[in-house]
Amino acid sequence: MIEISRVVTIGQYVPQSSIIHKLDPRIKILAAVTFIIVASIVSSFTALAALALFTIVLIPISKLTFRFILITLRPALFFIAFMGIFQILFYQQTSNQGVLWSWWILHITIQGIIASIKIDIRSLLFYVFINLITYTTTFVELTDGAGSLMAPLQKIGVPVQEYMLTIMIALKFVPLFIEQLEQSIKAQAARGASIDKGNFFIRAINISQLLIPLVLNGFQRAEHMAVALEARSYRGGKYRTKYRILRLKPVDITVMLFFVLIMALTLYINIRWMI
Amino acid sequence: MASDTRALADRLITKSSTRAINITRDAGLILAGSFFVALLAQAQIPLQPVPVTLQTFGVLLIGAALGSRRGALTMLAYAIEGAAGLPVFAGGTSGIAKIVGPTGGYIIGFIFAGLLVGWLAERGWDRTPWMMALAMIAGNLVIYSFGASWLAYWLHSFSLALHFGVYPFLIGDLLKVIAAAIALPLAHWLVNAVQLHKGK
Repeated sequence: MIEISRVVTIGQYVPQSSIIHKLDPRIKILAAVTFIIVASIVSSFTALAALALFTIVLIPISKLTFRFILITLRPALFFIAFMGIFQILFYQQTSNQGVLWSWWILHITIQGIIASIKIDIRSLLFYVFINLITYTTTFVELTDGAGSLMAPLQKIGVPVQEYMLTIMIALKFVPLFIEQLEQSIKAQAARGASIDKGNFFIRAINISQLLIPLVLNGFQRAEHMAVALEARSYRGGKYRTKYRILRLKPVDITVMLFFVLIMALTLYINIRWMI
Repeated sequence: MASDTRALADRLITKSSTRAINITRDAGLILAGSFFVALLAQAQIPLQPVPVTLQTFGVLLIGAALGSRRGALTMLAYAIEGAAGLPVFAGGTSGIAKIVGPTGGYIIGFIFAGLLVGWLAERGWDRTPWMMALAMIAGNLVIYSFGASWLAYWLHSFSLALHFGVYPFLIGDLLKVIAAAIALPLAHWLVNAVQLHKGK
């Protein structure tokens, strides 16, 4: 707990020069959302296989190695295995066919095993695809893209730009905050306190000792940052111009059409070959 | 005092006339809020698939104290921090798998719960224990409707989702509701007392 900053890496961007890296972040965000929706809808092995094939092909195109993807999958494997076992044990069968083993409310059925395999494939697909997006897109690009996609909200009076800036500043402060948190934990530990001992309630009370210095420090930094913004004549709203302007290039549109085609094809496969 | 229904944070911090100060202060509050929730998420009773933690208490408390806008942004920042790999989720976990996975509905629900509880607090619901309790219950409902329906999708069964994703937490939630119903009105009462003392 104390050496947080050493263990944690913030952001997952892997610098490379692939076509996926250079893609407009807005398209990547929309693609991720579409992928999740499509992968949630489809229910046949054929369609899941098509999505899996697509995802696997994307890995070399993104200039990432399969070894790297497998290593980053490791933390999710326990979770996926758990989901699979859970699904097999608690599958609610509709008929008495195909029951292999049964005890109390637990039944292992052929349908349950099939459903569980599908769940596992789906979670793997979700995980790999979303990870691919974050490996190939910097954090700044992602927030720029999200802000640009939400820009229409500005018309109904939601100050999207200001919200995005607020979130950006908050997230940029994270490393400083972690440092501060570590300092507080060490300072409290030097006085004999400990945050990971004792029961539930004692721990909750101990945690509160860390919060006051954290909040006060946060405010101090916020004031400094405000001075810096002021010094650079920040006025916000319509006065603010962008350093990075997002423009759709021909390659972006081609990739988008290609992606839509593959998703449509997957949905067709799902209906055509229902296995 | 009846007309002043601002959220707790807005009463403590007077809004500055300069935009930059307001934005960076909000950023500070949001970050502190997301760390608060992250710390509370570590105080947990492990349970699968969804552990019992003080996380939801933090979410609803932050929503009420910071107001709708900052409440929702805090939870958004929390979700992004987790997705980026900071160990902010229950039990020091992180990763995008947690958000798109079976228990991710709760994390998405936090954003809307923060928004709702903050909105209610801005309408003065956080001034009396009963109203605050109602606001907390409403926020919990939002978290559960997102969390349980996404879990139900994964488990292919709504009753199983309720069994594993809602029922085990109800007693804990009741305690959290009571704690918040005392804490926020008390905080407002303290602010009132201090302001009266200062002769404002």
